Amino acid sequence: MSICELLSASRHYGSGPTLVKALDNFTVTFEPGEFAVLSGPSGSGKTTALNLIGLLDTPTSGLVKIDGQSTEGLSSKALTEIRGQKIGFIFQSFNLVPVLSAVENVELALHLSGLNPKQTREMASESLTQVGLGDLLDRRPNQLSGGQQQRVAIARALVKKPKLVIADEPTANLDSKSGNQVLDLMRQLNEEHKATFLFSTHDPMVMERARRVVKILDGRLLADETQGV
Amino acid sequence: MLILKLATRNLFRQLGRNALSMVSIIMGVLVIIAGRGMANGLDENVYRAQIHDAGHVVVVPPDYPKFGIDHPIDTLYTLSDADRSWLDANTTEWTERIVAAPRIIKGLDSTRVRLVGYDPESDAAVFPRENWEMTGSLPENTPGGGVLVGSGVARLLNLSPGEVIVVEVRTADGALNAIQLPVTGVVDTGAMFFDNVGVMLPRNEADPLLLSTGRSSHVHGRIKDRDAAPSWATQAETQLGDRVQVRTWLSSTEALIEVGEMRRTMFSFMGVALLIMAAAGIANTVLMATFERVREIGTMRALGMTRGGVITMFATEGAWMGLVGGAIGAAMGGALTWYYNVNGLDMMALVGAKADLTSDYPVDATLYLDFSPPTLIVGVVVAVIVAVLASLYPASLASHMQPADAVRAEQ
Repeated sequence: MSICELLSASRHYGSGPTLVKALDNFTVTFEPGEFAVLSGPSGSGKTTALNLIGLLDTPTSGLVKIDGQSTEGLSSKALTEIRGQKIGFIFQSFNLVPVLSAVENVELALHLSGLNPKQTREMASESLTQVGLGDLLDRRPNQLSGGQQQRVAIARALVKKPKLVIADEPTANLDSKSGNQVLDLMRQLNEEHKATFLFSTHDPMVMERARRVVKILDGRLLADETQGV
Repeated sequence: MLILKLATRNLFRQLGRNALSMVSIIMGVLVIIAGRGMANGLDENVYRAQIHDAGHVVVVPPDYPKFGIDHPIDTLYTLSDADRSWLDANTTEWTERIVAAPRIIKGLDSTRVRLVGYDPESDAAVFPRENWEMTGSLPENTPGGGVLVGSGVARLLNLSPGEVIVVEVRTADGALNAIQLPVTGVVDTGAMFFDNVGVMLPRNEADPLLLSTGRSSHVHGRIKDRDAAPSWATQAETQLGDRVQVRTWLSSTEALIEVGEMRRTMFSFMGVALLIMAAAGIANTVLMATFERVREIGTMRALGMTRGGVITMFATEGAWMGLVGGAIGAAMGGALTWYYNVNGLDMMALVGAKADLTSDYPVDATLYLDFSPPTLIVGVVVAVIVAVLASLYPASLASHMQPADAVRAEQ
């Protein structure tokens, strides 16, 4: 069973002469354990596609399926529940909560998915240790480097053991060394957790590391290539 | 728990702005607590002054004036032995008085006063004198023994012990009578009504002057439970018949207490007005916080926070502001009311000059504010409720942000 499917999905903004087709009749399917990239120039529609797959947005037409379940007509609460249980997010700007420590940021994801608070601290610490931040648990985001912050974000995304991890240009705000380290880590976690990793990027370095590259242009599928990485 | 921690830490993110928002809450709660403390204290002041001036219960002739110094003595009554026995059995203390409204004259100056003819044996039990400040002494209980004057009267006529005044009065039968008496003492009883217009004569002096021997205009009594005064009045009216009218400390202060209720309403209105201002301030503060934290809200929504969760988070922040502001306001209000509950507030100092406070109403010179712990708790609870309600609108706006846009918002 596919982990996520966009079936003839379109996302349009505005109407009449101001109509913008951010995604137009787009179909793509991702299988469990994939390490794939959605690539394309700015404005090509890759972020829109990720928003639909991550259930952060709903399509104007077409269908989104997560883990075999259609999301059509689901309430905001039901979509939130699926996001909380099955999808992890990594953002370009890390999006850590500044008033929480590294471990609390990771705990927050567990807390929001309804886990018992007694278990969350241990799981969060474990997850941060796994990304190499076991000795920086109590640091606040402003006390961490960009690469370390993105590692916290990765730990936060993976701590719930989601089936799908969505990363929106995860290396865009990092230098090449930190970017490579983050990519290595994600690749390693992909192999260990068997979670599907789905990136959006136009960074060639990231595309080289992906096993599959889905190219988008003007909201349409341009190419779908598998690489022997 | 983590959300509570998050809300608490968020409170410190814009500490100055949040503190400013809390000032109105602090002031609102302070005004409500101090205002109610003062209004309740004034009520109690009136009760205390009334009891100080007349006891828990007072028996007067029918249609006797409630206020002022018009004291008719043409309808005096006589207590039978049965009446006296009943009073002995049904009061802790009681005493008879005759009250008249003579003129006292010193040289070319004169003023109308309230003359109290008292029984030296039983009067002090009903009207305790431990707080009296007296220069000179009480009059002897013999004809020509002298007169005790209130401090306001003494100030008005420039009287001091040893000086002689003339008391000019109409007797119970309506004839003119007068007597020359030495002032034996000047007293400050703390009850403005008496101090400003009162003079006291023992019955042995007053009765020959008023031709009222064996008759009284007032019977004052104290009973075990002051709250039982209304039922005591009903029983007394049955015992004493329609030649008298029975008043209680409650019925005698009804008009003033109605004024007190208006005062309480006014203070509450001021407090509520301040809390509404506080609510607007908090709503604005929380609204600004939501604009500043759009990306955070989007991230939490992406991580699985429901719309209800977003509302709860911001409402908790509002609740914290209400709790902290309310607690500070309650602490300040509590400290103020407690201090003046223990030490009293000199109302003379408030109005500037004692002589200007000539009052026909029973008002004590010292106001003790009502210190009420339940009011402090109510103040804090009201502050929290107001703050939470004020937070709901911006919190609701935040909960409706589109997560897809919010996660990528510029910070």
